[in-house]
Amino acid sequence: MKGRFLALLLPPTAWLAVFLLLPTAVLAAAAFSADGLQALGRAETWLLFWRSFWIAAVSTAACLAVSYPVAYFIAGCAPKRRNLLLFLVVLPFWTNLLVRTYALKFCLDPLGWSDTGAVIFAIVQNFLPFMILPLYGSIEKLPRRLLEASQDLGASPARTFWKVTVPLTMPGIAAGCILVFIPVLGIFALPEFIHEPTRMIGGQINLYFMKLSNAKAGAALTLVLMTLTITLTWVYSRFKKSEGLV
Amino acid sequence: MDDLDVTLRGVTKTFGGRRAVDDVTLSIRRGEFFSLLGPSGCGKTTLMRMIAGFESHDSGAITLGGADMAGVPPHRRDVNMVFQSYALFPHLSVAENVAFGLRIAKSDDVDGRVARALAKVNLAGYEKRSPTTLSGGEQQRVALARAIVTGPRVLLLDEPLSALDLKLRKGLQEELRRLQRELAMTFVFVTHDQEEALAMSDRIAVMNRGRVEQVGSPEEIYERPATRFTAEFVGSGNFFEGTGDGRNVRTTDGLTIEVAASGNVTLLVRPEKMRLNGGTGFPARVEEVLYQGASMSIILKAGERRLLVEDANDGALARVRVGETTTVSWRPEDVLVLPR
Repeated sequence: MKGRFLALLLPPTAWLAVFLLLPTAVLAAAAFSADGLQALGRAETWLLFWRSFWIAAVSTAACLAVSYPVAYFIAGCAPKRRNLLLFLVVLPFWTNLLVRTYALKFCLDPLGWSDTGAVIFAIVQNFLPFMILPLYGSIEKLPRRLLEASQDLGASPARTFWKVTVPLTMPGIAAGCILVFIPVLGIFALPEFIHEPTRMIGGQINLYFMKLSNAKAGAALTLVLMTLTITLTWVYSRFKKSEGLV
Repeated sequence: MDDLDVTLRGVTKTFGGRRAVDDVTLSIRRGEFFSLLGPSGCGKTTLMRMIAGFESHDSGAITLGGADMAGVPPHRRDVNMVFQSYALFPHLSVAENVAFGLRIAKSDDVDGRVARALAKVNLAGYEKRSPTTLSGGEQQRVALARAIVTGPRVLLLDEPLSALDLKLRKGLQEELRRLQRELAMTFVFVTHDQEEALAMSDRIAVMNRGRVEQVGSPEEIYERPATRFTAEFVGSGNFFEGTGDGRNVRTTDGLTIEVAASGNVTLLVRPEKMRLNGGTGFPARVEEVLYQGASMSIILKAGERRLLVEDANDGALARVRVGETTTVSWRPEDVLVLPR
């Protein structure tokens, strides 16, 4: 019995060892080298981390602000209409990211819009579905009678929104934010493509590996980025646990 | 007129071409326990939601404390509602649920008022609990405390007891009645349970297909129903259709019943007013004896007609056997005359 149990455990363990632990070990070994530590010592590196962080934060906030009304509207539609609108939300995924970004650039260039703002705009445009879908999921589950109860007790629609709707859709808000923030933090290619000087940390890692042939520096930056995202995911999972019953 | 809390004049509401509420006119007095009674789909819940402001009325007028409510949103109406499914906020504690309306109104002494409201519904000590951990009866009490704590002019209760089991329901009926007296607050109670309505109300409006059939005290509704619908919905009865000559009514199946009525009428004799083996009376055969603990129901067959007789389980009916022949009788004053 025990032997069979262990045998079943073997493939996934082997998978994790070969494809996760081993590469991470190699990465860590490369990172803790003279070149790696030197890259981490450079002020420019931390400037890039900081830029990635605030761009990710602003993009996430913008995504949330745009997506909430959209998700709320979709959740309020009749089921048939709802499915159509959700289909439209995920439709852009049928096109390759590169093609979509090119298309966007063709739209932005004639306007002469090429700065950090344009980068954020492109990111928001790309990540909207990741925010809308989880938001829709939790808004759709929100019982209408709770909103009625709130208004019945004297809360205006605006107060009902802040005191009932937002707290009760917090799981969707948190999931959407994590789904947007983490990928945006490590995004590469798209920022440089829209506006070359607005390079983010992902672009720098790409540069180290592909252009500058400094894999050790790239590994160091990757390790820091990984630590950041894992920490964020961990915080999120703690938050989710404490959320309890909703 | 200033002792009226709620008035409805010719209120009509149409949903997709169907009249959910049809020309309803009602006056509800201050401090009254008023029930809207009717089968599901009769419009009673829609009517209540219109008073709360969740539905608008197509025509007619609704006033609360004399003020016209046309276009006034729910949060500006001095009524609170106890929802059928309680609608407690799952993200707030019991105390915060009760405090919700007080915080909106920026009342002072929130903690004290919450504590007193919870004590009123026998939930002292539950302040920190989450409503999701409470039983149905406890959730019901929290919903009640939350609705009364702000002291609204009118409390609307939408079938608040229907999800509870019988024993709990009986207990809460008493408690609701006591609470209403203590608070001297106007209660508008929606129910499809006629026994509940009879037991609790000062007055009842019986509703059928969007219309009000009759408004009256529980005694009036039961003892003097105005229509056959009311008579059938509230309690059970034996109905006889016939034509009267002023002293007797000749029924369609050939019985002669002594009652002062003329023209085409429907007669009603309540089952508990009927007596078996009373000497003179109609011959009938015992079809079924239903033992119900405190009372007994006997189904009789008189010709093609089925009659229902109910009596207290005091031994008098214990000897009645299925299949035997008996006579059934009633006092002439127990015959109710309804229009046909």
